[in-house]
Amino acid sequence: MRVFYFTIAGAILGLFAGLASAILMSGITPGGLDRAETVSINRWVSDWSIGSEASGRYVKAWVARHGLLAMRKSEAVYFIRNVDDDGQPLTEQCQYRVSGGDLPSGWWSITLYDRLGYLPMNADAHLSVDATDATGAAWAFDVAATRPEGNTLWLSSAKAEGFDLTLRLYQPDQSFLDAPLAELGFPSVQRLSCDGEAGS
Amino acid sequence: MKAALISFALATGVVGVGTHLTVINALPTFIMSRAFSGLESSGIGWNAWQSAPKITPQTQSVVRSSPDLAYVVCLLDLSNGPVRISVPRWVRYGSLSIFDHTTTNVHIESLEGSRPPANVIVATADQSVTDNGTPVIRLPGNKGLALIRRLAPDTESHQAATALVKDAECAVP
Repeated sequence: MRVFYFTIAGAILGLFAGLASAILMSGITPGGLDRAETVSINRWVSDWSIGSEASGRYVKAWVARHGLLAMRKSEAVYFIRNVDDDGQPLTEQCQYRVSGGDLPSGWWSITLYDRLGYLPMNADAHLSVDATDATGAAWAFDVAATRPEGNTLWLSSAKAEGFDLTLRLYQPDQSFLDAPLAELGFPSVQRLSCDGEAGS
Repeated sequence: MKAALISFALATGVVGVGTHLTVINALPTFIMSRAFSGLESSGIGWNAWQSAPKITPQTQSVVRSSPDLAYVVCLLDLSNGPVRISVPRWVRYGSLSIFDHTTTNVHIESLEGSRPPANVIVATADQSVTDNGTPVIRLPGNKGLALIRRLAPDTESHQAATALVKDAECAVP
């Protein structure tokens, strides 16, 4: 009888452990993702296997949760950045300056999403900046909860709390896909000031 | 006591690994199924193109939707036979993607340019297709999703992209 009770107890423990580990590794909770082909450039992080049939079960589960209907990398690649240049999490409480130059693609955009991957529920209509807006070899825009003075190109983080920026490169250059780490021009995200502290 | 501990460890391991793999493998299909339901409840029918409203915080229904793009969706149901898809090109960036019920992107092609419309036939592995010359995309199940993305960052271009739906086809012939 003791063996029976121990077996039942082990099965119950296994059930919860299996469920918890699956939730953790699928990215339903933050962290724990086993990405198959992680590419990180200047703190912008992507996975080259997104959208491909070769995606492993964990990447596929993560993409289903965080990037449903993503395209193959030959058509588009997605980079997510959730920290500033100092490695601090991006938050609505701070103002940032995003600056960069030419990017290795036919077209690109940077969009702000909340921690759950949704556009924050504000009515500012400033949630994305793209190659159409940011012209020239060098460009910059601010990210803030309220419109920065004298700055028409900005992203609103109002009601986002913690957030991330998603950089989409459409029809990326083949040379970039072959050697992504050679790309030096990915945008920087500089923290300008935060609530309760003087601007810098 | 030793036998009881061995049984405990075996039960924990077998049930734990089994539960883990079952959940991980089922998650994409479960999430895609929820996406189908969500799109259906927002008025999108099966085997018919439907323009999504311009993406805003209030209209988004899928994670990481892009407010710069005009989306047109067709939920694919192959229960009554293969579905024929025809999509007009677009002057700016655009693409046609097809996903199976497990979220895998099984087909993608560019819509940018002025060439004739993009044509494909979507069928299950065991359905016969008689249309010669049109590319055939095979899905592992009866359900899938076709998605058109067109670069349309402003209201005017979004309306122009939306107007192209009348020239597109997504139907069982």
